[in-house]
Amino acid sequence: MRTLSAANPHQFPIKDERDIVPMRQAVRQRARDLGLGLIQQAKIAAAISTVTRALIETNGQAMLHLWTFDSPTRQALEITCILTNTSRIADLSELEHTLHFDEIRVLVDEAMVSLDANEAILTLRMRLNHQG
Amino acid sequence: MPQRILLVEDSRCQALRIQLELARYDLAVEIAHSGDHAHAALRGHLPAAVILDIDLPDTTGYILCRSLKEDPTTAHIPVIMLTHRDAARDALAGLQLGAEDYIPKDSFAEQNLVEALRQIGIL
Repeated sequence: MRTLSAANPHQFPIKDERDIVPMRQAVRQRARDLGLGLIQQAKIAAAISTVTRALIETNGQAMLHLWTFDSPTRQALEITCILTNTSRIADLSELEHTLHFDEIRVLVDEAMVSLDANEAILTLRMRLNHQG
Repeated sequence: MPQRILLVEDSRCQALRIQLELARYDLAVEIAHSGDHAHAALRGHLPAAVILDIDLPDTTGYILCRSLKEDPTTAHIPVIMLTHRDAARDALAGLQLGAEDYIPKDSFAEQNLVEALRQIGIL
């Protein structure tokens, strides 16, 4: 089995809308390389486009990290993002609403966000063993 | 004999671009510029796959996809949605109707379309 390193995530600095297309393509390519089906590729690509567009609108910029886990015990594609300067966000539900997490959760296997006083971490995950 | 693909796309320029790209893979692309034309094309020899734009002059790709998937004679035909809309809710709508893939029209669209046809088994 081909093993891809999860220790070296692909990083995508997002400054404006022009950064979305190459980032989305990289996500799709990694999903394909991992063996995710067409529908899963389409779902995670659509999810990350929507989240990234919302991040640009609300945060101005973002750094996305694309992780690939390909081991016998864990095969998944994971995208994480750390948001700083979150003091203007009232609570977790406001942040989830801003990032369209109601739609995102239908598209990916897991969509999580955690928020503390100064920063938030969001994670999207698609697993290989889940078709559809 | 090349496999036949039905492309439902109202933009003649985009349709021609896709037709030329797929011709490189020995695929015969029949173009329908509206929903009516698509229905007419489907009454004859069934295509190996349908590529659907969402915004059409007389209907939407969603409606066309639903009718394809609800009709027992066409339900088996793979549908790929190729569209400017890349929001999560748009992709979800297409995939929930039974589309096999949902590809935004960006600079990688043709590459992704070829890859999707490969994964479906057309190429």
